Parts: sequence; C-alpha cells; structure tokens
Amino acid sequence: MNSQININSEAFGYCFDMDSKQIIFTFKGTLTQEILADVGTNLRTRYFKDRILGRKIFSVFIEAAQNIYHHSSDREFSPLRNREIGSGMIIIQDLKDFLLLYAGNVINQEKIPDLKERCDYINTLNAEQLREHYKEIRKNPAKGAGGNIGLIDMARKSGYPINYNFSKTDKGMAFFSLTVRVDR
Amino acid sequence: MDNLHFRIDGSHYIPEIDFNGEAGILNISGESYHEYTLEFFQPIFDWLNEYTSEGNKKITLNFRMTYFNTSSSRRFLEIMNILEDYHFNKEGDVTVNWYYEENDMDMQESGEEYAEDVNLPFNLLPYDGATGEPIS
Repeated sequence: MNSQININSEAFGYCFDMDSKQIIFTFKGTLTQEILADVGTNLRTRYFKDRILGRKIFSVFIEAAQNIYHHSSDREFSPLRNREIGSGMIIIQDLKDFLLLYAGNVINQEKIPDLKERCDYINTLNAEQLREHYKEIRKNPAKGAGGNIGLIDMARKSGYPINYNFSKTDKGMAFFSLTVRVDR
Repeated sequence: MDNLHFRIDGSHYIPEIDFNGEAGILNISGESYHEYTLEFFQPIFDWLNEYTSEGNKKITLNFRMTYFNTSSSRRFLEIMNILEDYHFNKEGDVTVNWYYEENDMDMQESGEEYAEDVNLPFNLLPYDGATGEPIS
C-alpha cells in the first residue's frame, strides 16, 4: 500500500478542510521551547486587539504543550536537549464567539484512572474553588518535571469544564485528548 | 559571599534576574516558561540560600512579570518561602513588591494569591501599560 500524500489533491484538501473549519494552528510532533516561544508570540500578535483573549489562549497553549512535552508516552530523543521529549498534537480553532484548543498525546493506559479522576474533580469546582485547589496543590511538592497544576490553570483560564477523552489503542496505550474553550 | 551580584539576561521564556546583594534588591521580571523550571531556578535558589545564610538584612523582592507558566509559579512560591523563613527566623526585613499592568487581571490575581500564601509585607502595585509608570 502506498501511503504517500498526493501533494496536488490531498495536501490541498487538508489545507482547504482546515480553512473551512477555521483552524488557525495545527502541530504534530515535539514542541521544543523555541517553537513554543515562536507560536506564543504569533498567537499574542494575532489577537493584539483583544489582549485578554490573546493572553488566555497563549497560556492555555503553553500549559497544554508542556503537558505533552513532559507527559506524552510518545517520546523522541532531542540531540539539542540531550534527552527525550514528548510528542503530541495541538490544534486551535477560531470560531465566531470563542476559540477551542485541542491537545492530544499518547499515554500509558495505567495513567487513565488518575488523570480521569483529576479532570472530573476539576470539573466539579467553581471559580473560587478552582483558585483554592490551585493554591493547595501548588504548596505541595510537584510530582515529576511539571507543576501538576497545568490542568487546573487551563480550567481557570477557560471558565468552562475541561472536555477530555481517552481512546484505548494497542499495546496498553491510549490517546488522551483535551478540548479547552476560551471565550472572546 | 563572593558573588554579591547575580544576573541572568531575560529572553522570550526566561525571566530577567537581577539580584543586587549589596543593596538588598532582588528583581525578577519579564516572562517565564522554561520547560525545566527547576533546572533554570536552581542557581537562583543556591544564590538565595547563600545570601540568606547571614541574618539581619533588609531585602526587597520585586516581581514585574507579564507571563509565567504554572511550573514557574511553584518556583516563585519557593523563592518567597526562602525569604519568609529568613524574615521570621533570621531577623530579616523582607518586603515583596508585586508589580502588574493595570487591567491585567490574571497578573493581579496571581499577586493576590501569593499575598495570601506567604506571610510577608506584600505590596500589589499596578502600573500603566503604556508608560510603565506607577498608578497611585
């Protein structure tokens, strides 16, 4: 089976499809610090007329990207960093009244219960409770390289529940995806 | 202490660190979203721990951030905790100034949350986004 992309029909089709869905950004692979800084600057420049929206989508983007960086089970060795960094996918869609950021990466199925519990708990909290939860977790030592508070922060910036999904794949892995809404 | 002046130039994702040990003025400003904040901040903690090994100093910690990720937010709390300990246990005289651009609700709230979490004299100081001048 030939799985090469036909640049004339398919690649154009992808592009057309993304435009029709108002996708303003899409990325799959390893999100290095340099890419983050670059995309972040572009996002904020794009929404310079609405700085609050620009800042919110920027910070959700950074937290989502760094979650992938630290926690994705699909890892690639970076010669520049001399260590493995996580690979994943981020899509940003600009709809009329709000933006949606989709983030996805592969995780080990063993991580599902804990992640699910954390997301479900976050989704029961109102703004004031999220603030207290954030402060409470921040006081405790972090597990791993991240801050363990990225999900809470995304929920706070969004003001909506975190929409999440796990699709089990083979070899004990699963695709973990998040959708975060940011209103205009 | 040999190195009384500690400095790191800022970049897109690294804050500017300017610690003047002689004057007791510690400035942290800009943006902070390094992917390995612990590695980035470790030399800062090392410097601070040495600087605060001797008591009785007057220290002003100035934050003037425009963005920081959640991982940096932990490190800032750790910096404030070092100084909180110094303030109470080593007869230090520590003040935290948290500067934020007027209308930047996120940065204002971040300051308020730190002010609740650390027991230090804490000033929340808005400034004009266009001129950078303080707003009284």
